[in-house]
Amino acid sequence: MAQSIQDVVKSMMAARGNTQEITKDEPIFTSGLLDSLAATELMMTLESDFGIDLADADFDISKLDTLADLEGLIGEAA
Amino acid sequence: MASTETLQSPEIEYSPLKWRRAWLTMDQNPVAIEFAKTNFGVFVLHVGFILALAASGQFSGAALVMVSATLGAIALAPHRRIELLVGASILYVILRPFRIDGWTAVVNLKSQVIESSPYLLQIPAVVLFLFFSALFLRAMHWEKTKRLAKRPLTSLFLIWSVFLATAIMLPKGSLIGAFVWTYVGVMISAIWFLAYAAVDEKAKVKTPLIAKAGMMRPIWGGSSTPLGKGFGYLNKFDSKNADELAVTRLKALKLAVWGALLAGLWFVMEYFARDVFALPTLITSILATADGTASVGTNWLSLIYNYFLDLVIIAVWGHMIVAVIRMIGYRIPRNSRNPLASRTLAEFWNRYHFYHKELLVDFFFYPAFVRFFKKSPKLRIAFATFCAAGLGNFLFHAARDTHVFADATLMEGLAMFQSTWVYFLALALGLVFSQVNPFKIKPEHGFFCYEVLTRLNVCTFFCFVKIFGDITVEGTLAERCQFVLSLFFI
Repeated sequence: MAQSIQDVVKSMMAARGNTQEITKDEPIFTSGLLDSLAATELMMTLESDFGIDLADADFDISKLDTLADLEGLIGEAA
Repeated sequence: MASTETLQSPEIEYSPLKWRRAWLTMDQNPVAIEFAKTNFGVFVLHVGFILALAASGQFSGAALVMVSATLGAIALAPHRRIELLVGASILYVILRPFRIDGWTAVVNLKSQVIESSPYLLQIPAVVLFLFFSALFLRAMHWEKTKRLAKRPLTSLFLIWSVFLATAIMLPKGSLIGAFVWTYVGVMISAIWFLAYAAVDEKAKVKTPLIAKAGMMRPIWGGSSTPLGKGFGYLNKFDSKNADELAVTRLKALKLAVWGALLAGLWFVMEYFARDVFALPTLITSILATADGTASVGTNWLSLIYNYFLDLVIIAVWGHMIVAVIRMIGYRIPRNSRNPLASRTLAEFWNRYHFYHKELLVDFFFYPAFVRFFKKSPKLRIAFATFCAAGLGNFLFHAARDTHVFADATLMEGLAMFQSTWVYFLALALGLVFSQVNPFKIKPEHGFFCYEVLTRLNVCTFFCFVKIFGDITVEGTLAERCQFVLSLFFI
């Protein structure tokens, strides 16, 4: 599961011409590595593929800002 | 012979291109990084940095002294960085709480009416606001007031609106009226800083509450938009060791020098436009068109020149602020990043004023996106974009400029915002279209379409939308529309 969210993020970056490796704790959206439109794509993927209802939680984008955050969020929902 | 050999040695070889490359890559150069870690290196970097800040013309003498003193103190006592930063910021917000001249003018006027000094209104208002900030952040954790944590911005704006309504209703010449107006100005100038501090209450890395409540006007200055957001954001970009700190400081110096060079470009552009060619500013052209004394050619030139001047000055302003933040050790992204390279309106918005876009996205786009139209992806993105670029952007500017109501009736005040409605509506619709447009120009459409036409479209849109984006008492909506028509000989 964790591997696939990593793949989702990597493919989003690749689609925007960015093939650099990112560490698990590197900010993805707040650093501008991916823009807010990519964030919306990722949020929709989290909802559709991982069954996470973001409106349910006390939503905060920083919860999705690193690969470690995303893996943690998916782990909590599982 | 000896002198020829000296000239040929790589250290002093005359090669501006090599020097430029060496300068641009110095934050990757191990020798430069090692030098930046030494005491002498830190001193040299700071001296060069302060000179670049001074050369940019973006800091007053007093602000430069304050920034220099704070940077120097942080360099000498890095383990006291937060305390020094917060202490300097508290002093700064007490002395200069307002971000725009309109609020300063209102408080000066109010203090004259009640025959007092503006500081006697300002200082108690700031102290009261700092107490309020600490209380607000604390209340987010109390059981009875925990709802604040779910909607911090809505709560803050509701509280501020109560103060604004009270200020409007109180007698204009009274001491209490003058004080409440001052408090309204202090609060709206710092409201987004407090909103980010409230968001940081949920951050993983905890910062002391007093530090967050005290950062209502960081020493790096700026507008009501918090460049660098709050401590939660800054902590993500903090230098973790001596090597990273040295690299961050070298990047800060590079950015400050680049900002100073752009400031030089701006001064030259202004000089040639105003003093040599007597080109009017955009608002002067709009008023001249209304008077029937403008020419179409001058109007076009004035419009295009205004666009480029605006890009340069926003870049200078943002670069100097981000450079100061980096010098403190936080390697945050730039505010402006080559906006002319943008191929879509949304990309331009991201590259032109990154932290203002972030504010709108953080507080309006995401909250709308996670709640509304979840079954229709395009409508969902369109609505969230409209909430951010239209409603949120309007709220930001209209609230910031509510000082106009201090000496005008409600209707007169509202009339001053008439053209900005058009601006925010056009901007929002443009961005919505940019986000959901199914036909995206791709490289396979050819060089001209992909590299030139896309960028020309972006420039044209922002050039035109700027005609309506200026919140001043001058230039009505009708006069601005007349200006647009005049460009096409109508």
